[in-house]
Amino acid sequence: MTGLPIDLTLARDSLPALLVGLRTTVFVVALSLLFGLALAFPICFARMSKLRFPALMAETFVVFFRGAPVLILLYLVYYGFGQIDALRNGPLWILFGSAWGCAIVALSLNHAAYMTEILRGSLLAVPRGIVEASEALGVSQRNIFLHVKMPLAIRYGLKAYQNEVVSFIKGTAVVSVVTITDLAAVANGIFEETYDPFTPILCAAALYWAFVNLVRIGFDLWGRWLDRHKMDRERAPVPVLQNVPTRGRLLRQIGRVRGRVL
Amino acid sequence: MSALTSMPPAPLAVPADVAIALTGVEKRYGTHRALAGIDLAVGRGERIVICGPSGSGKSTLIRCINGLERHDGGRIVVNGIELTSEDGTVQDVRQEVGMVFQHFNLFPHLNALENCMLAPRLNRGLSRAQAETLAMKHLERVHLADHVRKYPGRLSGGQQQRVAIARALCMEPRILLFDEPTSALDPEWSTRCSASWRNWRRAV
Amino acid sequence: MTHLSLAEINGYLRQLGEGALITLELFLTSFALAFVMGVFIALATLSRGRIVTAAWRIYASIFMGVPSLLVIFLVYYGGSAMLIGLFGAWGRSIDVSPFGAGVAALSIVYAAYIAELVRGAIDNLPKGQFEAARALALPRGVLWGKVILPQAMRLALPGLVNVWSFMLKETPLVSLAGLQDLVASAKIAAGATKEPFIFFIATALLFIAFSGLTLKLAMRLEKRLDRGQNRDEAPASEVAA
Repeated sequence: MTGLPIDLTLARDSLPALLVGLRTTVFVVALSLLFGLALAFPICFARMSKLRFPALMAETFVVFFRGAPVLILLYLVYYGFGQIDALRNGPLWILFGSAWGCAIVALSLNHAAYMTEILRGSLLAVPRGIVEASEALGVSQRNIFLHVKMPLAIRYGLKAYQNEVVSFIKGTAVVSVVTITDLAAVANGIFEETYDPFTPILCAAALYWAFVNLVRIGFDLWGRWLDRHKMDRERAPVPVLQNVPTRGRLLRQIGRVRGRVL
Repeated sequence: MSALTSMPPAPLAVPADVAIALTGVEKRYGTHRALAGIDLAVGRGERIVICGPSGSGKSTLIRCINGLERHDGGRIVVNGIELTSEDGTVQDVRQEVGMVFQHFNLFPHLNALENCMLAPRLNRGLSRAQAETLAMKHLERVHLADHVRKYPGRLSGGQQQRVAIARALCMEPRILLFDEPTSALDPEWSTRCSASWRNWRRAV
Repeated sequence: MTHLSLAEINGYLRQLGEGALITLELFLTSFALAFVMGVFIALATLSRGRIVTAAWRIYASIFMGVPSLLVIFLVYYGGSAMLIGLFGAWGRSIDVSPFGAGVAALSIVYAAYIAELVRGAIDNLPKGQFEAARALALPRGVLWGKVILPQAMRLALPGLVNVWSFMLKETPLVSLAGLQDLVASAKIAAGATKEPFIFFIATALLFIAFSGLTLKLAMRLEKRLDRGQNRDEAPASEVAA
């Protein structure tokens, strides 16, 4: 072994470019998380609807966009929608005419599919009795959703949401295939210029790691703040979605919910 | 039955001093008849207890009175409002009827005070301060003034039940329904609670 | 599709089929390797000293916090240099192929997830299992192989299924290192025929069908394992025999 495989000078010189790449990654992530979540709500309502047609449509959406690899979704949107002539002249071309639009569409759809299931699982975990108690108090369905179901669902689903966001961030490293110069693309570019196989990739990896762990810490703090009422574990409601890998029974339930890894 | 539903229902003559009036109420779960032609009239200020073995439909009956379950036949009039299939009537009835559940069903993410404030704020549009005053009044009445900032998970069974009672009273209902109020408590608590209801009744 | 001749369609289909086989091969090899490594890591790091645990924590944190794509690139670009560094001149003779790099990268990453699952499962077994085995004076190999691991695997199964389907969705990343897998073939076919929808949707459906099928098998396996467990529990008096 010849010591560190990292060329420190190169690392320092390429840091500004890598940070620009990181900024792009953060943008891509933030936009897709936002749109994906916004999309997940109506799809989740359709999925939970008693009407057979919307429920079936929503389920098909989830199966397709969750089951297909992100890379294929990117290709599909980028190469596929560009082929539709009707789109070329329509207002949606702003979206599908640019690499950015395509990337955000593909990633948002993927995230929405995962979030639909997480949201559904969390809403179903809200105890029936708590909802009935709100109904008995004469609270309207809309207010029950906003003030009772959602606050509880967020608590039940937070860990699954965190896992999804973390693996989603890592998954965005493929957007370079539609010509977006995100962090991974910048690192790849530096490799192609310098043929240093370690320095740029390891630096980019370190930045991803920092980003992911920052997000993780943010979620942990959020979760701790939400759980401030849960000091007595015995009487707290059963957190069905909570990810505790050391608890076999919960592990099984997580498996059923089938979020992303863990 | 079909004749009854196809005609616009004639207003049922219910004397003004009758709070709850049930006539021929039916409830079916599949082929099982949970309620078979129940007639009942409860007067204002009257306290009644419905007894029976488990599975005899006590809970179903209570849940029909505030529309948690839809009855399949017969008529239910609560405080002069008839429960029909229109959503609005159920909401109207629920404003008048408070309910305390067997397992209390407190909102786990809200503390005792917030549990009591939720419905008055959302339904009656009270301000935070107004709702808090109202909630404090009822929580003091059930001797929980010292525990208002505690979350349900930190309260004992008896305390939880009293929060549930205060929560129901905060809507200032004219009728209060209890579904097996003592079965989730140990015997000592249930004795104490029955005593506290008697006190409460006197205070109203 | 009208402008495509039957022969052309046949050609693309054959290419897709070959690509699919490569993807399948890559996935199964990587998963098998990740599984073996994961179980090994779990056993090696469980209830050991602080240094081993710390090393495990660092390994898990790195590979769970970094995109798999970067790990693939790192192994592919830097693989030769690493092999030379490790084995000297002998390492020079090994050629790092996209396939090899993909297998290495995916198995390193997912071994971390699998180890975490198995560790959790073992942690969660009743302590009585260890004590009972010790009381029967079972040798270490039998204790782990016949008592602890089978039970731990049952507990870890849903998580493993999860890893399985997630890893499947990440195997196409290796095509970005130049592997002619299913997705790469689909991309070529889509570009040449100008029919991106048909080829990409068909590819996506292949992935969905495969993971759906294996998921069903896993659920059946789960049920079978549960049945066995219930039978074991019933005759409590036979434990002595």
